[in-house]
Amino acid sequence: MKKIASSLFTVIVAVLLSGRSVDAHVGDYHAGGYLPTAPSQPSYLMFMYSSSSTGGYYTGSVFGSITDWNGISSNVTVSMDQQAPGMPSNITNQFYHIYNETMTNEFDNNAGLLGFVHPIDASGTKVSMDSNWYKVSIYLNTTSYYITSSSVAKGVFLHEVGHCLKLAHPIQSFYYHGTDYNGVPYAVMNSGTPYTNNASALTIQVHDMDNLRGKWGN
Amino acid sequence: MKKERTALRLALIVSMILAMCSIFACKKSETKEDDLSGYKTVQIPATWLQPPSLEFLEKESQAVIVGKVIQREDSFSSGTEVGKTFYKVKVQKVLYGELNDNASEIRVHQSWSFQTAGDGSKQIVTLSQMEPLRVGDTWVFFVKYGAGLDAYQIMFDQNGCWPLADSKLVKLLETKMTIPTEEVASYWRSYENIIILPIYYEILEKYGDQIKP
Repeated sequence: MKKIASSLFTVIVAVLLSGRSVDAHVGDYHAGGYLPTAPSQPSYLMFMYSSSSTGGYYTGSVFGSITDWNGISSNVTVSMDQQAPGMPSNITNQFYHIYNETMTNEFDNNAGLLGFVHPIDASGTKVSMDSNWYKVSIYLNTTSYYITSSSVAKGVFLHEVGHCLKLAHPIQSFYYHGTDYNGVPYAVMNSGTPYTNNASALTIQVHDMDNLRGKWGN
Repeated sequence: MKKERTALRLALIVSMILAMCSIFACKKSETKEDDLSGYKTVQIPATWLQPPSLEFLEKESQAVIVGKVIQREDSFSSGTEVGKTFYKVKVQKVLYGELNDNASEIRVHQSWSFQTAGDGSKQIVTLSQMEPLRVGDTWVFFVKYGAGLDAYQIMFDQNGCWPLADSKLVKLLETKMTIPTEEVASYWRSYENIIILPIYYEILEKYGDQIKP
């Protein structure tokens, strides 16, 4: 009887601990939402525009993968509308502007910068990830030495879109969890594709889905 | 005649002293300008490749050096989203590879910028917590010369720029402790990579004493 009780106790503790360890990472996302309705965002339809023609491995098919983020949270639906080149006239909030750029002028393509996002407020000021945003620009390094295939390009693109959905790098979210390398979950939102530690993924993972729901609801 | 010469010498000495004072004042002013602590920093998320090992990082780099930042020069073109900064770095040790012409000073590039916010305040916009490097800081740099930039690029940004191994950091790494929240601020310029990547352990193992301050 004692043995059974002890085993049961061990199982309960293990389940609790395991649950804790999974839950500990849900929260790898940022505060705030999109203006003018932020922070309350009852439903969320996002449009994505490309400001220039495709480049390198960043093809229409890669951009089309934006819909991989759909069907996870009922409050998040994203779609892609490519316009090239130049800004579309119907700029609204909840709008993403992709700079599908060769970043030769700003960055050395061998240096490993794959992409970044610029969230801005209504005045055009770049603001932090935790702020309320008016819109976001995505910059993709289309000539990076390290983008070696369409699947890598897709992984980077999905990652940057994840930032637009307020998701953070789990691998760097010490402010949230104080975790360490060994505790980092497998996720497309980890920084580091394509040559990387085994915590980075090229497609959306369970951890990414959990965080998207954590941020925007089921 | 002798009096005139003495007066001339005196004037020369006084002007030399004044010139030295002026140079000193100028240097102080540069130091003050480099003190960025008063500015609000806005970090926007960037995705950098993370090298899986020290071997990979070394292979991708032209040289690994210990270097001290001695000057900073910012460059912003209108219409660009991200500014450039070039640092003059005094090479203290070359740990791996070779610099062009075995240079004792190199020009190192990094991208970050200022912006004037809607409320008129000036802010620093960075892609990494490790920007901008401060004059006086000493780092282990993994660099590669970029002809287009006419400067050395820090490979993978925060993953190619590592803090020297002070005793506090070594203890932290040896014990594999999580940085206490109240101490995160003191590591803000280096925590991004030292904890999340095992490469720093490899760096310590390989270069050990050579990267102690």
